[in-house]
Amino acid sequence: MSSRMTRRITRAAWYLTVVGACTVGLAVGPSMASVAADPTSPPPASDNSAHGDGTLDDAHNIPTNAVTGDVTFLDNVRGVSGYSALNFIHYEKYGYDFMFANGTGGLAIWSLQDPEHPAFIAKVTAAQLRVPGDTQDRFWEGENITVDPKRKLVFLSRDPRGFGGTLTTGQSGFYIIDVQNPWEPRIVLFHPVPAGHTSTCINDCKYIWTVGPYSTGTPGNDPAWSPQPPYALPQGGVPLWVTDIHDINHPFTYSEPIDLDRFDGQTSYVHSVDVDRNGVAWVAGEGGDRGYWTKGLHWDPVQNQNRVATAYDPVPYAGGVSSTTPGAGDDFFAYFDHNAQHVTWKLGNYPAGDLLLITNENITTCSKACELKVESLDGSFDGAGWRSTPQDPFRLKLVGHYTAWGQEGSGTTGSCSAHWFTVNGNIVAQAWYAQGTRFIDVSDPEHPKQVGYFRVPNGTAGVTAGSASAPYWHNGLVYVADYNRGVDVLRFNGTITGNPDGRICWNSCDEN
Amino acid sequence: MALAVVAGCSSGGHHKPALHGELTIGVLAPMSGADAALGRDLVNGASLAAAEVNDGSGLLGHRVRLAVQDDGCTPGTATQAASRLVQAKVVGVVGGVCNASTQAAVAALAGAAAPTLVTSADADTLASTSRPSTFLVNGTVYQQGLAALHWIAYRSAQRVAVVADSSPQAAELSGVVARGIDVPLAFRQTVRAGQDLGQVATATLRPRPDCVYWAGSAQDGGRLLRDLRGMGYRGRFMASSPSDSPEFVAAAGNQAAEGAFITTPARPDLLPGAAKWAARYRARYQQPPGRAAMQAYDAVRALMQAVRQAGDTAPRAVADNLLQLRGFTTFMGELRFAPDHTLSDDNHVIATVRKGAITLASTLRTD
Repeated sequence: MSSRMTRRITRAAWYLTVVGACTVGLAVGPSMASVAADPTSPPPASDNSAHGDGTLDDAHNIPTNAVTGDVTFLDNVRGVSGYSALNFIHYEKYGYDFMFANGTGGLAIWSLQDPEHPAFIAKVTAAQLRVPGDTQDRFWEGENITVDPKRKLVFLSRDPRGFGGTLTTGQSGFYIIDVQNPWEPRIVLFHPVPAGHTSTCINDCKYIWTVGPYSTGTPGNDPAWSPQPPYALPQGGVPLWVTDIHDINHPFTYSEPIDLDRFDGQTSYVHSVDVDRNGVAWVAGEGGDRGYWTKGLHWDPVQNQNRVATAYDPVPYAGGVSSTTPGAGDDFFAYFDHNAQHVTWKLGNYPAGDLLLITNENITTCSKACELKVESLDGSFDGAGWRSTPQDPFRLKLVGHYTAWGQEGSGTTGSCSAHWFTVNGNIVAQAWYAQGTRFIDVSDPEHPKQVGYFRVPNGTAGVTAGSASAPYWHNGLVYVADYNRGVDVLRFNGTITGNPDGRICWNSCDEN
Repeated sequence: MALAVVAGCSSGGHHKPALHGELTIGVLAPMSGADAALGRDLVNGASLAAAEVNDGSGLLGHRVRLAVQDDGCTPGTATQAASRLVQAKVVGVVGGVCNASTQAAVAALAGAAAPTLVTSADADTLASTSRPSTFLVNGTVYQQGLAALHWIAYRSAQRVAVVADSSPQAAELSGVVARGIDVPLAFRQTVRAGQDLGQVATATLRPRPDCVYWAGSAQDGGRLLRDLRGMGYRGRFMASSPSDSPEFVAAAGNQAAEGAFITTPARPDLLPGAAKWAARYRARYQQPPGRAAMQAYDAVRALMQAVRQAGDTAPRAVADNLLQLRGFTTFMGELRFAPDHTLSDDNHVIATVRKGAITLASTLRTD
C-alpha cells in the first residue's frame, strides 16, 4: 500500500471497526487511488465531459424516455448508488459549490464547478461506514442530509435498519464526516443516538437534532413510547434526541429527548426537522407539525412565561396535529407528516407566517397516496398544539392539497406518494417516487397547481426508471436525489412566481 | 526498585481450562508516600480484574500477571518505573494517579509504543496525537467542564453565575462553563485567597442568577453556598469535583447543602450497578473499593478486551483495538474511546446532596 493510500485511511476510519478497517483497505484503496487531486495543491480544473483529473469515474444515465413538462433534463450522475438526499457547501477557497449525497452506497461528493454537470470527486463507501456488529455494507438511508457549511462537516443519519440491522437490533445515530478537503473526506466518528433516519443542524450546527422510527437497538428509548406491534396503531414512536456537537470529538446526546407527547398527548414517531427562514425549527412526524424557537428570548405559550430558548430546551412557537385530507382514513399514515416547511411570507390571502406546507406520506397506489397539504397555523400560536388531547383535540386547518394522481405527466402504475420538497418563490419542487418530480405553484394556497414535471418511467432498455426522493432548488437549477437513478440535474422552464431565488430553506436552510 | 509481581489468584473449586504461559500487564501506582492508599486501591482493582480472567479461560489462553511499579507520584520516579515496565515487555500498562508523574510515565512509555491506559490522572494534555498508544479512562478537566454545562442545560438555567477560586483547575473549569453556556452569563468572578466569601455571595446575587456554578475547593464552595442560602438564594448551585467530599457538606451545613449538585468522576458507591462488584472486592480485600480501584479494574479489562479482539499482543494491534472496543461495558455503560483517545462518553456523573449525604443524581448517559 502506498504511503499516500495509507494517509487516506484515516485513524477515524479504522476506529470504527476491525472489519471496517480491513474493508477500508480493500474497498477504498483502488477507488481512492484514482483520486488524482492533491489536497494541498489548487483544485484542478474540472473536465466534466471527460471526467479527467480530479474526478472519479461516474455513470450518466440519459433518460431518453423521460416524460416532462416545462422541465429540461441537463445531466444525470450516479456516484456510489441511488440517493435519499442531497446538500451543498460553498467553498470560498475554490469559488464554487460541492454537492453531497447519501444513499445505500454511502456518501458521494461532486464538484459543482460546472453546476449543470456535476463532477464526481470522492466518496465514503458503506463498507467504510460499518461499525462493530454490522452484517451488510448497506447504509440506510440518511434522509434530509445535513451539513455544517462553516466547519465543512457532513452528518449522515443512520437508520437502525441499515447495515443488516432491524428496528430492534440495528444501531442508530449519525456519522460526522470532515470534508474540509472535499477530495478526501475523513470519517471523524460514528455517534450512537437512540434514533436515526434524519438529522438536522440547529443553531449554526452547534447542535444536531436526530429523529427516526421506533428503535431499540441503541438503548435510550422508553418502551412506553413504542407501538406494539410497531406502527399498527396511529400513535407511537420515538421522540427527538438532541446532541451537542460543539466538540465533534465528544458529541453529547442529552438523555432527555424533546417533542414528547406530540400526538394528542402521545409520544410519537418524529420524522423530520426543518428550520424556516426565521430560525424556527419545524418538527414533523406522526401527529402533525410543531415549531420551536431554539435561541433567543421568547414568550413560551405553554409555560406562560418569557424564557431563553436553547437547542435542548426549545420554546414552543406554533403548530399541532394537522387535518387529514379527504379519504385519507384514520390509520398511521393518515397522520404521518413526513416533513413541513413554514411559509414565512404572505401567500394568497394568508398573512406571512400563517401557512405550513406539509408532506403527508404513504407509499401506495397513486389514487390512494398521501398528498402535499397546505395548512393554516391560525389558532395554534397560543400553545394549543401542546395541550391537545383525544378528548379535546386541536387540529390545524386544511387550506389546500395536491396529488400527482390524474395530473398531466403521471403514470397509472408505480409507487406514489408525496415526499421531500423545497420551495423557490411560490414554486414547490416535490418528489413523488415513481411519479417523478412535480413543480407546484402554491400562489393560490387553496388551489395548488401543477406547473411542471419530470418523470422517468420504466420499460425502456438502458434507462433506469426513476424513484424520486428529494428535489433541491439550488442556484437556479434543481438537483433531484433519486433512489434508483442517482442525481438528475434539471432546469425548470416555467415562471417562478412569488419572490424567486430567495434563501432556500429545508433542513437547516441552504446557506450557500 | 524491584518489580513487584502480583498474580491473580484463582478462587478454585470449579473446572477451568489449563492456562499456558503468562502475559504481563504493567501497573503504575504510588505505593509509597502520601498517596500510597490510592495506589493500593488501584493495584487491588487491577488485581481483581486479573484474578477474574485467570479464573476463567485466561487471556488468549495465558495466565495474566501484573507487574507493579511504584511511580511515587513524582516525575523522576515515574519515568524510571515506566522504563522498567518497558524492559519487562509488558502487554500494556495501566495506572497513573498524579498528573505530573503520569505525564512523565506516558512520555517514557510512548517511545516503546506500549499501550497505556491512564486510570486516575485527568490532565487534558495526557492524550495527545503524538502519543497514539495512550488512552484515558478517566474524564479530563475539560470534560468535567462539559459535564457541568450539560447538567446546567438539563436544569433549564436561564441566568448563570460562574465563581471560581484561583487554582489552575478551577480557572479552566470556569472558562469552559462561562464560554459554553447558551444562556446569558449573569456574573463571573475569580475569588482570591482569603477573600470575604460573603462579599462574593452578595456580588454574585446582584444580577439575579438562577444557577451558580462554583469551581474550586470543597471548603470554600461550601461556605459560598452557605452564604448564598443565607442571603435568600433559592436557585441551583453546582460545584466541581473537589466538593465531592464531606468537607463541602460540613462547610455549607446540611440545610444549605441540600439539593446542591456536584460534577465528579464516578465512584463505586455512587453507581448502583457496581454494588455486587464492590461486595466481591470487599470480600477479597477487607475494605470497600475506591474510585481508583474501579478505574484500574476497568482499564485492565479494556486492555484485555483489546488483546482478545486483536488476537495478538503486538502494541499497534492492541492500540488499534482499544479504539474499536466492541460492546465493552463498565458500570457506567458502554466504554468507547474518542478519536483523541479520551473517553467518548466520559465518566463524570452528577451527584447531589440529600440529607447530608452525597448521592447519584445522573450518569448523563442515554444508555
